[in-house]
Amino acid sequence: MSDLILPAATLFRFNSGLLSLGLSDLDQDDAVRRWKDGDGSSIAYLTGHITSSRYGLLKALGTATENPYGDLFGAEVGSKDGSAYPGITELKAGWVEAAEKLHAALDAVTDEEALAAQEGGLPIPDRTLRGRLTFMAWHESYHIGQIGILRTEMGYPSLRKSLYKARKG
Amino acid sequence: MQNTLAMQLEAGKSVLHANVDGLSHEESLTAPEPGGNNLNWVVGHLVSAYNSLLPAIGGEPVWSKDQAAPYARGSEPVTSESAATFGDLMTDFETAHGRVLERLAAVSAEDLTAPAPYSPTKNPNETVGSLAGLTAFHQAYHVGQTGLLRRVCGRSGAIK
Repeated sequence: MSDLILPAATLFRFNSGLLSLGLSDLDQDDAVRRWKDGDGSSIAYLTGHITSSRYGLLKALGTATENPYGDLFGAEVGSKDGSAYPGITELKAGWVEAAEKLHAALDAVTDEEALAAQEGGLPIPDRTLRGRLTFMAWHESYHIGQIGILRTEMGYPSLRKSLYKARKG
Repeated sequence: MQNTLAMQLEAGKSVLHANVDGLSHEESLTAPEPGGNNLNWVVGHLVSAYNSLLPAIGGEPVWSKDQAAPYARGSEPVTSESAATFGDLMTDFETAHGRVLERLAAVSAEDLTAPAPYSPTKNPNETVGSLAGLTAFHQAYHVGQTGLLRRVCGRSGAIK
């Protein structure tokens, strides 16, 4: 792996594990419950959304041609009531699968590839693959924070506590 | 590494401003029933995290320990009696953010490999660099929460 993408890759790996923990103890009804029972995001939506984002990265990295989450969870698709979403067990499995693919793809990135210009706009000054990875690692951390507050809102342990517990074994 | 972290922190700052745009001090204290931290606490917690990182990267904290205590990890949600004024919190956030970026631009690669003075996750191998990376994650994580807490204040989402 190129050292140029190491900070972003480290964050992707951290998020992979943290979200897996955060999906492990969820009840299906809670997974599709929307913030304040309104029209906002649910954990199922947010999980699908950042999994979809990872497939977008995999396409940019040349290791995926399709995004199986794009139709339901793509950037232009907002949160819905969840009736058409896969179950939370399936979403978790999809997250783990995407994580394994992303980690492997990142391991293979060279310095030259890391500095290759990216098509499309990026909301940060670095318009290379490194910049794209930097922003997308931030983006999914942002949404995992939202999953964290949705969990505690419904009475589940905080992600921090879940992480500590997992590390203690 | 420093550039990566700086860009992530800048992204968070930009989105934070959008998520708190137009909100009053009173609105920042709106509690997300049945419980949990309000927007005032989350923004103070962002300042608190920067405050903890700053000495590790050679910077000066913006808050004393007493100022930071109500917003430290694991503290109780702040109330109208214990909360700092929301406008002051945002000003302190700006100051702390600026100091962190200044220090990240100044530290060397060698500085980042030094053992960290503390580890929020009790990682015995925590370095200054990994601590800075963890702080970047932490800030993004909590800025994400401000997006939802804006809705608790009865406002529509700022990020579409």
